[in-house]
Amino acid sequence: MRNVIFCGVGGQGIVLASKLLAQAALDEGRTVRAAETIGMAQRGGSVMSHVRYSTEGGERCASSLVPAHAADLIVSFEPGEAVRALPYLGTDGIVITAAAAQIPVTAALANSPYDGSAARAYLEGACGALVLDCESVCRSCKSPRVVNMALMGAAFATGRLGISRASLDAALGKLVKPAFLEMNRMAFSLGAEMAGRRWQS
Amino acid sequence: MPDKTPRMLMGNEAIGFGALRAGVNVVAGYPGTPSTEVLETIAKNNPGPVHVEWSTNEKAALEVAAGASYSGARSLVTMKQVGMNVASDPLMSLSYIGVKGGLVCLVADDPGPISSQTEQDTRLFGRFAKVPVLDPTTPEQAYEMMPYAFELSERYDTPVIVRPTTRICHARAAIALDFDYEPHAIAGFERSPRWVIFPRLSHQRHLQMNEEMPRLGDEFSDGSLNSVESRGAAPRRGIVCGGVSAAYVRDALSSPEFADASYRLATVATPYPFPEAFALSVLEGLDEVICFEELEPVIETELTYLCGKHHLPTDVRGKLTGDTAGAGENSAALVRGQLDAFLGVEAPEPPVLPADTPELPVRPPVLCAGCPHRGSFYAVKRALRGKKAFFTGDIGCYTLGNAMPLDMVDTCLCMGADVTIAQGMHVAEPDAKHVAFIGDSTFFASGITGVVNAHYNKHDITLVVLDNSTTAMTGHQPHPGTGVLMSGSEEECRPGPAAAAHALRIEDFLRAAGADPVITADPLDLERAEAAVAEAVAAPHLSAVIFKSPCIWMAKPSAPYEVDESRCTNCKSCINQIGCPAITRRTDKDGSRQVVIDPALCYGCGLCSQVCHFGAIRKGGSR
Repeated sequence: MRNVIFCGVGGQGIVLASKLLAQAALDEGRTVRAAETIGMAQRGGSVMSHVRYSTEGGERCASSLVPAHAADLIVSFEPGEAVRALPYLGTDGIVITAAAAQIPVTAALANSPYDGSAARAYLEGACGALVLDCESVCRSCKSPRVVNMALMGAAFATGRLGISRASLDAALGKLVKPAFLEMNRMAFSLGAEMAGRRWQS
Repeated sequence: MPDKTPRMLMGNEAIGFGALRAGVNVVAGYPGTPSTEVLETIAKNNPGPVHVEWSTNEKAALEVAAGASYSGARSLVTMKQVGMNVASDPLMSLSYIGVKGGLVCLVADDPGPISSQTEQDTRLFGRFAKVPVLDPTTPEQAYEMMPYAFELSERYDTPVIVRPTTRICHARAAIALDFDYEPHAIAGFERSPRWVIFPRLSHQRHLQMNEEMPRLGDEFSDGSLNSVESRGAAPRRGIVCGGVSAAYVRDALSSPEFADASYRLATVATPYPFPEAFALSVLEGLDEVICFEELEPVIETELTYLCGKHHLPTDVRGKLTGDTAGAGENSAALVRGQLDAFLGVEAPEPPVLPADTPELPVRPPVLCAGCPHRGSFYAVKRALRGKKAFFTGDIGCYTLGNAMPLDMVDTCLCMGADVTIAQGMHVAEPDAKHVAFIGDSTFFASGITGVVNAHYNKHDITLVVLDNSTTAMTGHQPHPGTGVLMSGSEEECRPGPAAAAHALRIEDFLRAAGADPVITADPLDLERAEAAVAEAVAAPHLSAVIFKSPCIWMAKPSAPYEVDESRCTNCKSCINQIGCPAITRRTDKDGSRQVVIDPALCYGCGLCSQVCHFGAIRKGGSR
């Protein structure tokens, strides 16, 4: 059984990332369950997607939601949201997060000092999280909307997904319009490269 | 029809395809999270002959479906749980009248609640109305259930409720669509006294229902929707689940700590009429049983009743005994802790994280950057500054107008209530101004009655219609004001001249209902918007402003605005006045902070530039 959590702020492209992983797992013949946040929380609220799939000869899950302390991988689009998702992290689980903080209106109004730095420091200390400069990937790809693919690439590079790159790429072709395919592939590669350096060393 | 290899389907998609598999002829509904995608799935995959419509509200939808059913069509009506309140008038009588073509009410409950006003339980509504209820435990079961629900409806001459919850509706599972659509043959309407409800008929039908429901309960007991299994020799403890809780329980019980546990595990997917014979077989020989279900203790109450009726020594535990939570949704973690306690299992130590967790910002949902509602609320706020005024709100994205700094929603109750609550408040406190906010879809769904009441009873309120030309909160469904249909010709089903010619104008309704003046204004032109509100509020009777500007999700963004840092004094007026999520403050290396606009979030609405006192916000380059 593999348990993967995607989390972040509504509107960051989290649903596409979780759909991509679920589709790739299905195409590899796994038993897959998934769940996404839909509705009012999409308007700038905290959102979370769960993807669960069987591994070869392994057990199947009953629920679409990852239980507490069971995630093999938490892929976060925002450092504070990664901290919020930590109760899901399994003993040997890995955390990947985009570095950039999303500052909510409440924090801007309250003069709060939230800028994500404390969250990033905590994540690195608490679970050796990989903090990824997704903004540089966005600059290289000339689009602010490829954070999800940069993170997917990084998630692949951890080796924890147990899904082949070919399956992920084929699923991408099914889910993304042809005009955006190359851009998304590039972001995936750049994300994988950045994370690969960490997991090779 | 779709290819027959398994694919990832959302529970709501599975339900929609399940209805197509049953040969459904007519589908009507009103959007509401978590039910919306059921009707959308059918519209999107319509093999041609299915009539699909977003009705003006749930009552209209159920009556359309009932009429189609009287004429022999298989009909589906979709709504969220609070929609059942609106549709309850026809439902209560329809259970007495019965059906001809199968009629299924898909009513999605929302434990939490996650996106709803209440945590009401539609299983109890079924019991109240004497309408059978099916409660799927997985998306796959929901798919399988739909054809059975239609068949059941025809065999027992009754509407049938299928009640999934959010975590079924929005869960994804791999499902193979193993059917080709074949429309149900429509027999046609036959005149008969049975279609006209009269007290004598109701009495007869009441007796009949009292006989039939236990018979159906027996059918459920014998059927395959409910399940029971035992672990270990002669178990003395039982676990009975309803809905998605069954999956949480199964996942927990697959943990190694439960390997030696002895228990009986049952799921109830047919909560009304309750499968008593099945439940008695589950209870046999048990000392105690715990119920895992969300919302109300329906299964728990039924089991407690059965134990009393049959003098069983079994203790029934759950919400009523405080062993499980009385409100909110269940989760794997919650259920696991309750199971550990019930079966006397010790949980493994959870991984320990450092205690110095950083403070995290709260993230309540907010109006999007560029949302025209922000301009509307701000214009009303400015126009009534310093006056004694109260603001009634309604259900939709614009409920978010209550958040700081706009703080413009003093009340919110249910669909359409803004219009009439304002009237009652004004009667009680006539020296204050009362402004009611309503969205365009909500106006058609349940606002018109209140407007007529305001004119007839001479209530002095100002109605502000937030017309963004869509039903935004639930994912942008069309409504009578857009003219776009869910089935029909290609032109009729997309925005364009045909739809525009067919659209109803809210202005016309308001004038016909006696509102004066009725002013249409652009909410993103702050000065004129404020003047429109001032003029309308000055009238000593029903008046209205229609703020017309499309939802940003339907319109192309224009060039983002920028802060001219040489002019900006960092007074934070823009942040403190309108609270746009695109405006934040950057912390520079020297610790100083500068107001900035995030170009990725800014939609170019320009409201902030009209708020700035220093001309420091201006339109930037092309996007």
